[in-house]
Amino acid sequence: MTGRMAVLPAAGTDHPAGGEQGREAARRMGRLRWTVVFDPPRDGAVNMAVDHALAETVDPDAGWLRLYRWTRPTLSLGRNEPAADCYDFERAARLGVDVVRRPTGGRGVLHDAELTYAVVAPIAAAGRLRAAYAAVHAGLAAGLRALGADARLAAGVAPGPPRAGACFDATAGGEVVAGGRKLTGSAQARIGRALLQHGSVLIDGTQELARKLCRQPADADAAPASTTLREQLGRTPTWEEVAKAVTEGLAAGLETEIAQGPLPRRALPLIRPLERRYRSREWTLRR
Amino acid sequence: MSDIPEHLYYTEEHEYVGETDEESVYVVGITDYAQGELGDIVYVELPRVGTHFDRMEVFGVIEAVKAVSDLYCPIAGEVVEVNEAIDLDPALVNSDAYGDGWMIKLRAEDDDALEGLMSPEDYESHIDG
Repeated sequence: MTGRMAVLPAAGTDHPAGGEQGREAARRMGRLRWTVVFDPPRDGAVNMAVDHALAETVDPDAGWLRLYRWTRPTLSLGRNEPAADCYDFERAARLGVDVVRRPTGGRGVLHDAELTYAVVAPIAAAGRLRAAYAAVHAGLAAGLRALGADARLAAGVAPGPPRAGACFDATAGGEVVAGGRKLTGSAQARIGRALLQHGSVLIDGTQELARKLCRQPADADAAPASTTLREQLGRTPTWEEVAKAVTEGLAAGLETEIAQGPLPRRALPLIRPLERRYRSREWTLRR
Repeated sequence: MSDIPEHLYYTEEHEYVGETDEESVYVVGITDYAQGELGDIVYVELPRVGTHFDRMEVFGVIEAVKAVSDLYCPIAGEVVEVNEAIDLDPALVNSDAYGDGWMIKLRAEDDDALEGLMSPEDYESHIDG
């Protein structure tokens, strides 16, 4: 699969993933009190535990943008991705790649030279899941355009079972693309009364390693389905530069202000027990 | 416009509960609104027959193209039947949420199992809110 998709402008589109519903979701989410957390690098289990803890403890009037990275290259699996027979976990270990299973849907993602984002908001404010998806992506795309990338939202939908494989091998409608290739991959989960949406903004590198770890690799002759900011900008922006652009893009998209702050205190006691779950083989190899 | 059958009961988390021909046994699934929200459903994980759940305990998980959601058990009781057809064809939840897309049948442990659930009118207000 080449992943080249028709694209639509990120704003003002009448595409079902955006359009009026996306703008309404942006208005509703914009009424929340937003905080951005610039998190230090953590390992996969802790990163998933922190996102999950934010969702479990969400306030009815608060939204969170967490921007983070990973201490080591990490393959994250979709919540229901049938990965146990498909990925070569021993090879991953030999290559120094951690493996973790996300709480969200979708397929495998190799996290390395990227900015990872998590948006957590109460569902009552976020409204319809797909509209919130479009609203967040429209904000991300605006931020990436400000950096100089021709970031837009992909049209079309690519439904299919949660089979194993690299997420960046396929583009779904509403995702952020540049030059027809995927620049940001995202997934959602409804956790209690919260919406968690997290995803990757590719800064550099490739998803080639994810394909190598998959025992059923994609067509080797296929054109790369993903792109990076380095490719799009002709230089490699720093993580901090991308974090600032994404924060400002989301703030503009939601027509709100986003203050910088630490993780909320009430989420902290949940992180350790959730970390144990995300570190367990039982969870990682659940399918 | 979502379909909200008059004869069913509902939760805020978009599960429905219906009475069956057997006393104290109820059928549970997700609403037409919920399946529309999720979009194309690609995977549903359901419990085994015999499993006991407390009220609003997570009984399964549903995944659409990108979104995952836990499934919450609207009444306390024991699973007496599971719809194995949606394991093979999860799209049944999209095409017939209240019919072939049902998920589990439970034998309620309480006589007032339906108490606290939402009426069709209340559920309509909930999703319009």
